Amino acid sequence: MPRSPHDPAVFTRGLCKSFSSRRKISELIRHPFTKGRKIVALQGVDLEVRQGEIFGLLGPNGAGKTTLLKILSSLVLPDAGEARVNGCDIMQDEMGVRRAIGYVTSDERSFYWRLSGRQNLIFFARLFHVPAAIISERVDSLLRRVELQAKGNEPFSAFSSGMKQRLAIARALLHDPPILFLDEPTRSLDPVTARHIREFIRDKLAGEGGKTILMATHNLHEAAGLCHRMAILNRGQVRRVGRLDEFRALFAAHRTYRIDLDRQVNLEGVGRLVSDNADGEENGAPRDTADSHRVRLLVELDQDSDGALSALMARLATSGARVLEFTRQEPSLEDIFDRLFSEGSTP
Amino acid sequence: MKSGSRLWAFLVRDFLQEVSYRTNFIMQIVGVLASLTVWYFLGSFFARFPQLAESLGGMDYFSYSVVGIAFLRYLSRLNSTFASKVRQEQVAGTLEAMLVTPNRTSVLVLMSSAYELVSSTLWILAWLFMGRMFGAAFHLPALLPAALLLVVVMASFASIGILSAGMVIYFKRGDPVTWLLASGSTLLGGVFFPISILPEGAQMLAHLLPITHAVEGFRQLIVKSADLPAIWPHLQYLTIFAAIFLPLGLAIFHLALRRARLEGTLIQY
Ligand SMILES: Nc1ncnc2c1ncn2[C@@H]1O[C@H](COP(=O)(O)OP(=O)(O)OP(=O)(O)O)[C@@H](O)[C@H]1O
Ligand SMILES: [Mg+2]
Repeated sequence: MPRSPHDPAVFTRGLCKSFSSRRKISELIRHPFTKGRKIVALQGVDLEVRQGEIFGLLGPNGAGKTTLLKILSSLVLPDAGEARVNGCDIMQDEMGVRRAIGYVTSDERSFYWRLSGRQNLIFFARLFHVPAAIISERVDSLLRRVELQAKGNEPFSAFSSGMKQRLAIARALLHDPPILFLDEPTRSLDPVTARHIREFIRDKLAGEGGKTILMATHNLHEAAGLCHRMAILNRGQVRRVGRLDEFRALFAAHRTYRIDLDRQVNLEGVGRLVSDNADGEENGAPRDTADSHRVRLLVELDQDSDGALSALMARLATSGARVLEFTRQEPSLEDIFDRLFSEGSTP
Repeated sequence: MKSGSRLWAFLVRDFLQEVSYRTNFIMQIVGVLASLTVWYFLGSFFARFPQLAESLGGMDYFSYSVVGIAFLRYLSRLNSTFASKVRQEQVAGTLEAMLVTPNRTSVLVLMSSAYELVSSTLWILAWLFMGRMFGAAFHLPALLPAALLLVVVMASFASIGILSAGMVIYFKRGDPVTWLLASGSTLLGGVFFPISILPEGAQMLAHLLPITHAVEGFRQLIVKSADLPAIWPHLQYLTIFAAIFLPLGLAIFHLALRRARLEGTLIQY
């Protein structure tokens, strides 16, 4: 399908999907015609992933990330909405979609345990219509690329999680697709292997390979370090799309200060007290350190309300309390995503 | 050409998996020998009653039952292979991996059973050959009628297997129809005893079962050395059966796959 370089690699509009929950046989007999309970997985998802981009899908468990990837891979049909992958409509041209994508599931099994890594890849290469004459060469070069050349002839059952993941990536590259869908690519990997995979994704797949990558992940640092842009998905809806620095800027509007005092001070009216996630201490609870008795307050001020900081200072000055420490708290990645995930999710 | 290469991929995959279970293969041979031994002694015991051969159409009981068992086994393997392959691949997570390759789902699922089709056919030949070694009165049949009959037997047995796979995918649970058919075939199919001893109503039912025609046809060919005319009615019935149930099975199977894709249940178990 001819496309200009400005067309999005992945495009969705108004994608909806709900599943009916599985029913017991006794229910089926008693109420054969009533439908089961609906589970909404996606509701009106609009998304555009640009060519050559690493795009992250973030969201809590059950947000709909995997469902979205499966719909885009033509494994599951949507109830409503449209989607195009590499210019191919997922409903009209599923073969076109499948030729354009490599899909790496979050399920590390998905291979034949009794066959070697190499035999597994050969099998899938035939299903991807790789010409017989070049299958062997293609498989060997992919095994080399994912650094499994030495283990290629060992049975899949003897592979470690990291090796399985790398083999899954190799399989997704058999037909050299322009787009890759990765569902939690570093799940169940140790930190060193995970970093290795991340570097591979960034440098080899996206960098040298020029592939478009759409990946679901729970790992915030992974998303921060890898993704050019990301979408925050929650309860089947896209809450926000943007770059990490844009998300950071969103919350720069809220500034949090950490104040240690020698006694409790009432700050009502000048700022909000927030709880200190980091060490889980009650707000305003006195804490005894080695040298003195302190009260720690975490205060959030609205950036846009002028003079909020001055008002806080004034209140502290008139309170008669001694300020032992006063620091601006930078929001951690967890803080940012915590807010993003909870945005709009309170009904 | 393309589909040949895919078919080959499936055959190689399953062959490699099978040889990886070496003891399994040995166990199978031991099982065949043990089973033949039982039927051999049962046959020599029945040989003491000469009038028995008459009601078996002039065959000895051992030859009679070895053919019956061959096709009963064939029936049960072809009936279950499609559904159980889908299930296996679902559980292994490999189904999802296959379904993102640019191939039609039905082709992938049907090809997944290709090896079982080949190996169970070879199994019949091996079983009959070993039966001959044990002294069954088998003759090499005329090639063309035997091949024709085998093809329609395979098609009608497989059609039920495909239909069953469709039902299993659609209802997400084991299907009672195949189970009924298997038990019915054991009882009524003229496998272990001639259907002439059954009550009249049961005899009519027996004539509807494909296995009845499969075993009768093959007994004519390899025990009685009969030619095409003798098996013609069986050939006819099985052809009609396959002509009805193969398209029906495929249609239900397609329907089930489509629904499973809508519900997202094909890849979830
Ligand atoms: N085949 C299915 N049948 C019924 N419900 C389903 C099915 N697939 C997904 N769901 C439901 O849809 C919702 C979205 O699930 P999905 O797997 O897409 O979430 P996710 O964002 O990938 O979650 P996680 O982070 O846990 O992987 C969940 O409530 C899930 O239970
Ligand atoms: Mg998921």
